[in-house]
Amino acid sequence: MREFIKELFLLLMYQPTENELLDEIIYYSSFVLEFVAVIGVILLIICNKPLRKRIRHQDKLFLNVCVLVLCQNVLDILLVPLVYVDADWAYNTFLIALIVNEVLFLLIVLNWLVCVDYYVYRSMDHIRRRYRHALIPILVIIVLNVLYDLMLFDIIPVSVRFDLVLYGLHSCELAIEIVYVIMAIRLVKKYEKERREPRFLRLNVFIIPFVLGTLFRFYDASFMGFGVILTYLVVRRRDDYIDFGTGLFKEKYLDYIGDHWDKKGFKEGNAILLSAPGHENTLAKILSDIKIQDCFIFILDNKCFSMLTGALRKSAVLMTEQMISEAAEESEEPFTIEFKSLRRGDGQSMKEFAAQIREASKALPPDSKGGAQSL
Amino acid sequence: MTIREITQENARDYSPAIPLEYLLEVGREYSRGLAEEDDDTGELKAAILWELRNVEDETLPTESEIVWFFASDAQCGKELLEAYDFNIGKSAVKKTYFEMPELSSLEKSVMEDEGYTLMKAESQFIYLTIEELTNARIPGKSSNSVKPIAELSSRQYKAGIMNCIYHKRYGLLDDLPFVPKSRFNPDISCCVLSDDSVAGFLLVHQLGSGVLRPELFFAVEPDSSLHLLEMLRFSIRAAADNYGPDEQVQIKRANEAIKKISAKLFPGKRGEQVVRGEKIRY
Repeated sequence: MREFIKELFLLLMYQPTENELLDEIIYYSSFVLEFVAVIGVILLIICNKPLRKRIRHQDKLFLNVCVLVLCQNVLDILLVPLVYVDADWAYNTFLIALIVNEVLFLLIVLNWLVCVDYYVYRSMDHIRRRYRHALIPILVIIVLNVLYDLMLFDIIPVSVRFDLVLYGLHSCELAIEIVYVIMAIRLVKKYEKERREPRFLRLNVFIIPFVLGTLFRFYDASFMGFGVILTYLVVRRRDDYIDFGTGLFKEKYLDYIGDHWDKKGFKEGNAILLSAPGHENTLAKILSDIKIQDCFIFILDNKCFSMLTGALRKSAVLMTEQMISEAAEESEEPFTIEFKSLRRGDGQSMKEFAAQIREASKALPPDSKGGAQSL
Repeated sequence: MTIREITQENARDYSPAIPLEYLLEVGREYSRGLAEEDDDTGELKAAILWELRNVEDETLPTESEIVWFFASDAQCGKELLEAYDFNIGKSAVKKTYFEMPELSSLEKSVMEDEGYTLMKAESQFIYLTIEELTNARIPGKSSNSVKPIAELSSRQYKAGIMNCIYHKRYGLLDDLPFVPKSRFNPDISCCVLSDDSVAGFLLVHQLGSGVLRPELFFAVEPDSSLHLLEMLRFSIRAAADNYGPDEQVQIKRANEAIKKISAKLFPGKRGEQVVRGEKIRY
């Protein structure tokens, strides 16, 4: 047992054990897993148009993480031939590559945190402001790593316990990574407390691979790859409810959100139904410009629109209608909008309210379906 | 004696007997007024101005805040308060209350006879000079994302107000959705823009007396605390640029959060002694 723990510890510290078979297994399996991760991430990018085309900010941010993961895995794969080269330059390259690997690991966790933050608040201005200086700790780590290597090669002659310095460096890196993870957890907790929107994002699909990657450093790149793939797959479920033509939610999201509200015990609900026969495109554009947290805008199957939110005073409903009407009148082809406002009754489940919304949308002008083809 | 409703149209007829800063509010969605005059001389015998609160909020009881009251004759005062009571009854008001700098002994006795409980208390308003505001230590830095509302288009302004009311933030104005942009001082009032939309407002209204009063101070998440400080700093600087150092600013400590901020920024600043009264309606 002691022997096993010792070997495990050596593995954690990037050092080969004395067990040749174990070393071989670890070495080849890490290479295979990195290869699988590269293929997985490339397939993820190719198969998902929003990600590939960087349609939204969230896609751009997530693509950054994917690129970093690819770099880390490719770097690790490229190092394989160096293992067989017995030369100083190969050893030096290996050391530099280790620094790059550590930095990439940090950058991946940081960029994942940025993605989580954007997912919660959907504000690029906030991202720019909050993460303006986020690279500073990573730059410090780079400088410390370079100094360590310079001391190691006696370019800076200092008499220190190199193993202790290395532990210190690793501890700093780990501390930064843990801070990022804690920040992400806090963001999501806040989201859960304040927001009414269902959360597709699951942190554990990244945190578990992160923990495993931190424990088993031979597999860190591949675990990051799997974490990123899994994170995208869970977040992507939200896209199934988005009408990419308009950027609004599809009708089926009404049921999903209804289940979520019922589960969470949200009692209040207001809906404003809108119909503008023949002007659906313009109305969709006007509505998509409304950026209010926890106000969900749907395009229903019959091409009516619905705004769903929590409690809303009558004056707020009036103001909404007035504002949207004004925007419609100011458009290139002025048009009028038919409105209907619904309030969720006491004790009414969201399922019943969703049915009421659907029913009410049918009662809006029947020729409103005329524009369906043009949308 | 005739009791007449004070409306936007006839409000100015009651000036200067009723201060202009109160008369100018009549005509707003939830502001009302009644006046009792001598039929022969036209002399104003009693008057009352009030604002309804929580009219649309079903989670809170509707209340009425008397903002100005005057009576020079006990009988007239009594009749006017009865008319007022009848009037607010139509809006299902559960509680009526007021805070006034002072009441004459006649007004006090009329109020007490009509069932009001009166007490001396510290005012929820504090008054600061612009100089005091500029001397306050507000943490943080200035930001380019804060703009005066003069630079906002009508649609941007309305979208911003909509953002506030969807977050149930009405500031001091229950009728915020109906209030025109022109109510607020365009240079001192400001907003914070985030992702091309209004993420917060600090709206300042200049009362008829010239006193400046912030009426809405709100920013949405994320970075709400930061945005609030940025807007505060912007407005104070703009006020210092546009007004003299002795110009008064009225702060209504309407809730615990504002009380805490006021106490932190202006330690030792206290409200004047006022008369408070309330009456629960059944």
